[in-house]
Amino acid sequence: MSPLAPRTGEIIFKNLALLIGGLLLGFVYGKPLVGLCVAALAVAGWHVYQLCRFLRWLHSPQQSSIPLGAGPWPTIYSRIRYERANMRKLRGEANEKLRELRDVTDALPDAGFVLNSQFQIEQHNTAARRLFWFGDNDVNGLHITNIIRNPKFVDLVERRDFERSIRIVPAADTSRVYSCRLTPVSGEQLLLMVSDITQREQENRIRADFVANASHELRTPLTVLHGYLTAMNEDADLSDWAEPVSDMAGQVERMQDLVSALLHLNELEGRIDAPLEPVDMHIMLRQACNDAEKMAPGKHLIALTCPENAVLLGDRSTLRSIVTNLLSNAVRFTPKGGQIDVSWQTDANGAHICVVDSGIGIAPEDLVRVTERFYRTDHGRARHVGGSGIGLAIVKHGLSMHQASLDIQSELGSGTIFTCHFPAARVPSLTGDTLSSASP
Amino acid sequence: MENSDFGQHTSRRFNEELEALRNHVLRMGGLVQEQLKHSIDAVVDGDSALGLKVAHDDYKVNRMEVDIDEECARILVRRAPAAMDLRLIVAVIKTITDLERVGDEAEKIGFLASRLATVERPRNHYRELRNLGDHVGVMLTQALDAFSSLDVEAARRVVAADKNVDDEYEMIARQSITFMMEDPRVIKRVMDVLWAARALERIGDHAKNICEYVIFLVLGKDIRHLKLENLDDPDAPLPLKSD
Repeated sequence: MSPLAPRTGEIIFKNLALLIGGLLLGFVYGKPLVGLCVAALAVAGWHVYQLCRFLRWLHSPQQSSIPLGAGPWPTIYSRIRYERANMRKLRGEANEKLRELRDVTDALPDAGFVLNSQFQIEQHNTAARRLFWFGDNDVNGLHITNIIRNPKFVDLVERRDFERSIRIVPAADTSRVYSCRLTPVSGEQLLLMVSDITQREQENRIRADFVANASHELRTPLTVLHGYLTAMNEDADLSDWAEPVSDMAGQVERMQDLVSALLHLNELEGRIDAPLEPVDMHIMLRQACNDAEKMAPGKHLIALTCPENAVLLGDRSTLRSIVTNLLSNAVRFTPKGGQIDVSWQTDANGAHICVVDSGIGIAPEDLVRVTERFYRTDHGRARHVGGSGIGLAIVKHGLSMHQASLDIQSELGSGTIFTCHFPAARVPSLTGDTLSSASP
Repeated sequence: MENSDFGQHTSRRFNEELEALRNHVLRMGGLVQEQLKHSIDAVVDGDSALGLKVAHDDYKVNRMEVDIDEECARILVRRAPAAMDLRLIVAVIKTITDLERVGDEAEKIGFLASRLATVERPRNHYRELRNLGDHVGVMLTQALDAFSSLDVEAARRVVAADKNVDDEYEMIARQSITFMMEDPRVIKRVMDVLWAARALERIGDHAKNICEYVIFLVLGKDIRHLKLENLDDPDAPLPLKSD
């Protein structure tokens, strides 16, 4: 039993003892009731006195000394003092935690705003001050579009778009680029995160420019080489060198393909959304199958399942390179006598183009990386099957321009299934539009 | 609202109306800022399509001006505001006129950009216009920031900064005269650059005007046409015509 635990039995016993003492004293003098009353009054009076002292002490908490007392009172005093100290400690700890949290959010390199449901600023960190130059002004309570007035951002706020992050150029410093994103927090509050992506954008641009320039510069020398090699190939005097020359011509052609693929990929990465022009996929898939057949005549069985009215809204040349790259991949990685099935299906979710081969397959650890540029599953083998190494990267970027996704299922040794899922909005037969103007 | 005094009316609707009015003005400001930025980008990058887009999009700015004007008239009629609220309405009516003019200047620069894109570009890629444009863009941003936070000090700084813009314009004008004397074949192009610089200089003046309205709104003091050093002296006389 702790010293602070209330000893109720003892308190009741003591008070009763006093009353009984009064009663006994009354018996002695022959007036027991008067004795009882006097004792009861004395007990009550003492308690009222203690209560008054207690209240006085309660209202001046700085008075640290505990008034002396008997009965239950010392317990009450020490209990309250203990609770108060405990509370103070807890509050201190909570404040400390809050301060730490505040320091952490202030140390974040990204600007954060907490907005209420009316998009008024409730809180922000110091990075927000730095990124939007509002100095020492108090911006709490202002509508967020008073600070970030960019029309694209205003539009994002008005549409309550929590899905996308947008890129804005701050008006006060046009050399910087910010990325903004709204996220709903619990309740009505919203979190706005703004990060400075200037450097990342610059690096991306430098990389893209480098690839574009390097590819472009390589084009001319390769054309010259190719021209001479073709001429040498036809020269009867050089018949001793026929084999090396035709090898060289083959390699130069490969490099030319690689360079044009890189330029194409660069062009795709720069673009955002594909247009909505109707493309007849039936004719396109048929042509792609014929071309694939010509790559290795008689080597595989290529089958196409596609209804006549397969139309997709998108960019023709991009769709063409998606289909061609998928098929040339299938042809290259499927051994002689293999089967390649190309199919087009539509359902409520959109259209799906499937390319199924019975080729060598892709190992599970490579699956996630095959769409990266120049990623090759097996260095020794990939050399002799040729290809640029960026075919699937082109497919991925081309699909993302169409808001489509690529799904790859594969098993080593038994083949691979590439499926392109196009959203229903890009399939006129699903959206109800009857676009008759589809052309090959 | 902690930053302004518009939150003290018994009618909550009235507060909301004034708040919405302010937000609309700043939204229009954001649109104008964007137009200005695009117009300068169009000149510097030689992007004629962007220039024409800016010129075409000016109708959005005009439409916002008309809408806000109507909103002000409605508040005046329905609420008969007084003191700070009345000053807010007056300041808003003037501010949107200036913003609309800035939009017009941006439209002009957009047109000039589409014309400049067709001729050979100078070696410095119109760097002087980029510098002046950035300068003016910052002024406009700070003017709108001052309007949103009712910051008199910031407004004063912008008023003082207008002098630099004027100097910069003078410099471009002198430089242009030199170019034209050196090679008369470029006169047409340099004239267009000069027009664009002139438009930017005017935008600086409009930003300054907006700041003067902010000071009027907060302090109830008209500082137009005062000399810079007399800004703080309430009894300073208006300059005479001969000044």
